[in-house]
Formats: sequence, C-alpha cells, structure tokens
Amino acid sequence: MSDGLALNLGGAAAPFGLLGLAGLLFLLPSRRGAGLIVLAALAVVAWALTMRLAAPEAAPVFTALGGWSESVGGGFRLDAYAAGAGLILCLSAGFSAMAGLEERLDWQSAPVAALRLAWAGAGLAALSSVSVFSLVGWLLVADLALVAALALQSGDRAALALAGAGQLLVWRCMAAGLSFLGLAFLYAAAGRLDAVALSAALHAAPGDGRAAVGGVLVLAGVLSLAGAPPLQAGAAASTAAARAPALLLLLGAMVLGLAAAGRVLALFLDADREEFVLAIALLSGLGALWAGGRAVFASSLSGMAAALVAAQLFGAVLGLALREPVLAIAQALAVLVGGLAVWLGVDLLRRRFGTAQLDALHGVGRLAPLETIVLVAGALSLAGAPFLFGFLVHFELLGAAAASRSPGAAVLLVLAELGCVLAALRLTLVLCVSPSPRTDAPKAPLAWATLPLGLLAALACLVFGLVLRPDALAGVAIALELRR
Amino acid sequence: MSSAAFWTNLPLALAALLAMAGAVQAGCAGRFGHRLFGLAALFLGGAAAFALAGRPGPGGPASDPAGQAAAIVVLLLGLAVLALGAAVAIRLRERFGGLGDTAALAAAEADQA
Repeated sequence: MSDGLALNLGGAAAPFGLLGLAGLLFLLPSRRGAGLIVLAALAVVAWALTMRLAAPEAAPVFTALGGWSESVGGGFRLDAYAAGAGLILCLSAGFSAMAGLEERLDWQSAPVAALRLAWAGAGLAALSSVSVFSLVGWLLVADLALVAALALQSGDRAALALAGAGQLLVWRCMAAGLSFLGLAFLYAAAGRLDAVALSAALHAAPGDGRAAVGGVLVLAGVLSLAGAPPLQAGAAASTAAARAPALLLLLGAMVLGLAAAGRVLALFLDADREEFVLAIALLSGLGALWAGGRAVFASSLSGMAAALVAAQLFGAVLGLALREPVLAIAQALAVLVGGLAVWLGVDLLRRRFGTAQLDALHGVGRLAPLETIVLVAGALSLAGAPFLFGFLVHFELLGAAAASRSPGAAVLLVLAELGCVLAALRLTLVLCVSPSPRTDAPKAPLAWATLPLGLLAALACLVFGLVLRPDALAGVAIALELRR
Repeated sequence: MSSAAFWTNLPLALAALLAMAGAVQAGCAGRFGHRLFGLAALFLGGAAAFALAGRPGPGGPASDPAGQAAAIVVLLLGLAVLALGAAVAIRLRERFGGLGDTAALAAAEADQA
C-alpha cells in the first residue's frame, strides 16, 4: 500500500500544484491568450507523443494528465510537471482571454507581478522538495509573497485586500509555525527530516511519545494548511478583486495547500502507525465540522462558499485517512468543479448587485436567474445533492467512514455534511424562494464574459453527476492496483 | 518515563509550551498587532525546539548541525513574518486608525459592499 499510495498522491498532486505557474500568465497581455492556448496545446501534444514513444505500455490519457506518472524517492518526475503545466496554461490562458485581464491594471503592476512569480516559484519548490522541513518553509515563503501581493493592491477594493492580507498572514503562519514545532519533535524522535527517511524512521520506532506529539502537531498544522486557503485566501482574494485573476489565485492557493498537505499526509500514512491514521481521521472530521458550521451561519456569499469548499476539502483528507485514494481524488475533483461554479456564481452576483451579503440578496433568483443557477448548482453539488457531481463521492465516502475503525470521524463527517446541506438549502431558499426581492434592480449589466465559464462549471456538476457511477470509481481503483 | 528521559525532554516541552501559547494568542487575539506577538512567540518556540531537539544516538547528541541550521531557518522565517506583518499593521493603521480589530474590518467590509 505504502509505495502505491505515495506514488499516486504525488503524481496526482503534481499537475494541480502547477496551477501556481498560471501566475506567469498574468505577466502577459491577455490578447496573447489565444496564441498561448495554441502553444500550450502543442506542448501537451508533443509531451504526450514523447511519453507514448518512451513508455508505450502507459495509458496515454493518464500519462498526459501527469496524474499517474511514476515518482522516484519522494520527488516527482519532471515530465509530470511539464504535462500539468501545459494543461494549466491552456486552461488559464482561455480563462484570462475570456475575462479580459487588461481591465485590471493594478494586477498588472510590476511589483505585484514579481510577487506572483515568487509565489509560483516557491509553490513549485514546496511541492518538489524532498525534505518535509523545506516543504513547509517554501510554502510559508509562497504565502508571504501572496500576502505582500494582496497588501500592495491599489484601487477601490484595496482596503478589503489589506484586511484579507492580515487574515491570510495570521492563519497561514500559524499553520506553518505549528508544523515547524511538530517537525522539531519528529526530528528529536527520528533524527531525520527528509520525507522518505522520516517515514521509515517513524515506522521503525513505534511507541516514542515525541513522535506521537510531533505527528499530531504536524497533522494539525498541515490540515490547517488544507483548510485555511479557501477560508482565508478565498475570502480575501475574491473580495479584493472579484475578477478572473483573483479566482485563479484563489484556486492556486487552495490547490497548493491541498497538494502540500497531501504530500505530508502520505508520509504519515506510509509510516503505517495506527495513531497517525486515527489522528488524521479525527482532525479532518473536526475540521469538516468546523467549516460546515461556518457555512450554515455565514452572513456573506463568499464566506459561505469558502466554508463549503473547506468542509469538502477536509472530506477529501478523510478519504486519504480511510485509505481510499480513489475517493479522495474524486472528492478533490468534485470540490474543484463545484468550487469553481460557486465562486463564479458569487462573483457574477456580486458584480450584478454590488454586494455579496446574503441579507441583501433575498429573492434575486428572479432578477438574475442565470447567475443564481451557477451558484446554486455549485453549492448543491458541493453539499452532495442527488444527480450532481458530489453525490456519488459523498455516498461512497460516508460508507467508507462508517465501515472504518474510527467511528468518531464518521459521526463528525455526517454532522459536517448535514451542515453543508443546510447551508446549501439556506442559500437556495434565500436566493430563489424568498417571496419578494429586497434589491430593487441590478446595478450592473449581465457579465457576458464570465457567464459562459460559470454555466460550463454548473453543467459539469450536472453531467459528472449523471455520468459517474460506482463502477467507474471501481474501475479507477482497479487501474490503480494494476499500476502498483 | 524515567527521570533522565523527563529531564532530557523538559527543555523541549518548555519550548513547545511557549510556541503553543503563541499559537493560542495568534488565533484568539482581537487585534492584528496582538496576533503578531503570538506569531513571534510561536516561531521563537519552534526555533528553540529545533535547537533543543538533539539527536539521541550511541555517542549522544554531541553536535547537531542539521537541527541548528533548521532552528536558524525558522528564526529567519519568523523575522520575515514579523517584518511583513508590521508592514501590514502599519497600512491597516493608516487606513482604519487602529491595529485592525475585527469590528473595524467588518465595518469596512460593510461600507465597501
């Protein structure tokens, strides 16, 4: 199990972590977006052909995705990065061309662009570092670059960006500091800090109290890293500049934190010690419950969206703890698709009505049906409503949790899911069923540039929900076993 | 735990206590400036823990360059966090007239919305 899980986690994390490279795109004028799409598509095709020639036995689709490439000694193969980079460049080039980056001149300023570049580089270094210590260190550097970029924002939303920078600094630094403290304990117990040797040393030295304390501290810090990006960067970046660059940055921060957390969690799962597995399960269950509670009582759309995504990310982590990597990856994909729909929906409604406060948006579903459909479809998919993307994954995840040896985590997960369902229902009722709109009329015209992407994300939630069947997940699990 | 093991681990535990107190302060304080103090304690405790986490081995923890290097890196990162935090705090003060307490930030968000 240990090698396979680490390899698959690593391979799956690589392309997502490369979302950081999307930051590079912000350095380029958006009118070159179409050219970039062609170039990046050519790069992906060339890479896939090369891999096909070099490893004819490998399935071309999976290798082209970079998801199931082999990794060696805890590091990942460069070709997986190249493939992931090509794909992400394609997506983000299309995204930026569609949304018209040139309208946001403050995001194009040289210091901010340099900081985004630093963020991308540090994120890449974090994901590819062999030592756990340097992984956390680079992640902190990436966060500091993000904080500085937010703090340097100018324009009408600069105050919110500054407040978001403060929140982001506190929460991410707390997570990194706790991880450092836990790593010091692990170092005292095992004498190593590089991922593979540390995992082996933990496996070989059971019963050391320092290892247990350090492990729980690192896990708490790493799970905070997984949960903090959507809660903090999400609220900060999406309110700071409710535009495509902010959404990309938000997705990048979310995925970077999750990928880094996945790498460290794989290390503990590979150590194969029962107390670590239980700690991961219980901590992720607690995190999901906390985020679900925040989603129910959120006062703004962006806060609710961030809490919903965070709760589902903790669900993905729980899937890892339950040794169900297929479910964890499927859940992460469901969160990405649903999260994109939710954030685009929030963005669309905020631009249309000038506010994201839930109280001010009663009954706006009748005034802005398309935007509301995007938001509600994403929220219901995240909450696991039937016939949507999240449903099957939730169903399987709850079953796996109920059958596991940590019933406490299963109970916490059920409570968190209940919170998410209540939050999504509250959102639907407020936006669609509320008797009379409190807002008189939309303050801005429909955003035709961003709307297609939002509708596409909502459609993806529905299509994946209808297409995905339990036997598809079983097929992926069998493919995973075969590749081991 | 034997008496020797207890005294060996006591400095580490004290460093952890400092760091955990800092984490609680950073998480719970109402003002941004007060949270920065918590972050400083957290990183200081982390660096101290690395410096004190000498490796047990056959010859004892005579020299531990990796642990000391890690302690220095944590300290430097902590300084970077404080410097950036101070810059954010100064800008918050310019804009909100305080060190960014949560009520002021919420009011600013409502105004902005």
